[in-house]
Amino acid sequence: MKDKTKLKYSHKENLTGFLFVLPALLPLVVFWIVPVLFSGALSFTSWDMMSPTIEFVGIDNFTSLLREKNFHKVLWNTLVFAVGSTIPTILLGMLIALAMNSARRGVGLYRTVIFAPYITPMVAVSVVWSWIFEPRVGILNFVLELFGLPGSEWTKSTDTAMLSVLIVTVWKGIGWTMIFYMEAIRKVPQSLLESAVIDGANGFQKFIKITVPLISPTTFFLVIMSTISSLQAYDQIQVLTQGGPAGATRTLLYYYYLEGFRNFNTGKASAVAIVLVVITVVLSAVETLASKKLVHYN
Amino acid sequence: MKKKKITLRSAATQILLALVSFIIAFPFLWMFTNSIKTKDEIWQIPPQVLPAVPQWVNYSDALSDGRFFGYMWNSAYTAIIFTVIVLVNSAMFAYALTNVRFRGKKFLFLLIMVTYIMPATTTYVPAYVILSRMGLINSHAGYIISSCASIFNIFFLKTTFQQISPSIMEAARVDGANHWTILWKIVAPMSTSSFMTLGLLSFLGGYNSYLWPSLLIRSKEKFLVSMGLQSFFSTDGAYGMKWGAIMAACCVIIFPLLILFLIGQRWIINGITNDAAVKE
Repeated sequence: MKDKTKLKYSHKENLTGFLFVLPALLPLVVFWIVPVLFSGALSFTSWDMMSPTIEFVGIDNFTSLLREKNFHKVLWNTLVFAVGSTIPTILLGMLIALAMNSARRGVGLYRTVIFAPYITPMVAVSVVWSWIFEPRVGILNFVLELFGLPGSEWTKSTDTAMLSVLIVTVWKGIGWTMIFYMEAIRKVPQSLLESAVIDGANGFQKFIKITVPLISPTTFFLVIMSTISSLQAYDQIQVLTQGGPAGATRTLLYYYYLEGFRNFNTGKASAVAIVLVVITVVLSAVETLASKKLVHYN
Repeated sequence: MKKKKITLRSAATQILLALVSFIIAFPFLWMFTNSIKTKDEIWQIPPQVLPAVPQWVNYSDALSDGRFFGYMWNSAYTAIIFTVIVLVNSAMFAYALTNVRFRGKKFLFLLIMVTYIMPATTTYVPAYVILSRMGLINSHAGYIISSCASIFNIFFLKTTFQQISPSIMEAARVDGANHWTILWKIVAPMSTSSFMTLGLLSFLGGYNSYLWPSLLIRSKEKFLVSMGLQSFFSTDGAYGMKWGAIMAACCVIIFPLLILFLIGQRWIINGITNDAAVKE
């Protein structure tokens, strides 16, 4: 009896709640939740998106994927892309934010310029970068040669195609991590830093011993967000390399696109989608577990 | 002695930041100078920073047939409709989560938490099939309705609404206001800066979107701007080598967004860091 007033839902509130969530819930269910389940079901079939009958093939799609040499390469590329985009974006964002917070003037202007790439369309900026990467007359090779460094084939070579795609991705993402770090570093208590100076700490020690632990929740948030978004990268790959040369930049998502919408292997593409979901969930879980040890919450 | 060290250090910081900013801005500058070069100047080694005579003709080359304005219009109007829909339905959802006591709330919250980490891209094949059953392939309507829910917006507004003191809502309830009135007359006006942030981000996201619309839309006249540029680039760029015109098209696409960002940056930058889910 005691909790009756607390537990009772009024009819009217129930109806209001339902009507209020419906406009967002409807597209969410039809175009997100149902498709995820539908993907799961399709991954056990050999459907081609056209034929009226759907044949059930058990776990064949998964076993054949795991046997495929190409698919191993795809998994490897996905890992390289995730690590190679997340770590530099976060480290550079952190270092720039650190410099920004110690600068006296021009911060507003620098911040605007460094953040700007984030709001521009990936397709358009990738087109611009493809011209910068041009091996013969591109400005990047010209600048490298000015400094006596060897030029490169960039997007045209299997050795550097992934690096090219990563450069564009990191360039576009630094501003985003930077603004989170600027906010986090600003909140580090000045008194802690000052008392460290009294204890004889130098700038580097202060940074490692005080700032880094105090901003670790931000780092954790950014690591999760960047990894998830890196698994979804497509536009820059499509423009710069189309997954090539020779599959050097073919990631899981790009492979999904090829199988699902170029080769119409719907069943196989759905299996790839499930692998992508599993990897996303596993990575997020691992990062969350690691954060329990490494993240310092106050 | 100490003072000198500090000024030296702040000078070094300034130089470093100026250099980083220059490197980051460089692709935009290069895009612009190449958009006004002749073909020979573009292919010249060593590269020329500025053209002898600005070649505005590249812009008329890229734009004269009007198709880019068509693409930009398609992107802009679909992005505006999409933005209005997601702002309204996310606000209603977030309001229900924070201020309405109804059955199944906890389950709903869990459901959208789980959906949040599901990569949207993995829904594309089934979502395509569903849309084709509804007869909405190759239409802007299909593109809009299939993307008009945003879990990010819901979380963001939920955090904002939670910061409003419940006593304000209760007072309005006592005065006889219903939830609909409270949401739009009291809660929303108190959260305008969150709405500005999300409005700008949703618009930019819609305007810049590429993969999903490129799967759905086939007819050229319905292309969104990134699709139009990619098709121009892959037909005339890699083979046709009309680099000047392509750079001009990029400028026309990118500069309005940079201006929008300059005007709206205080909402975009402050909004993202102040209210986003980091605080959870």
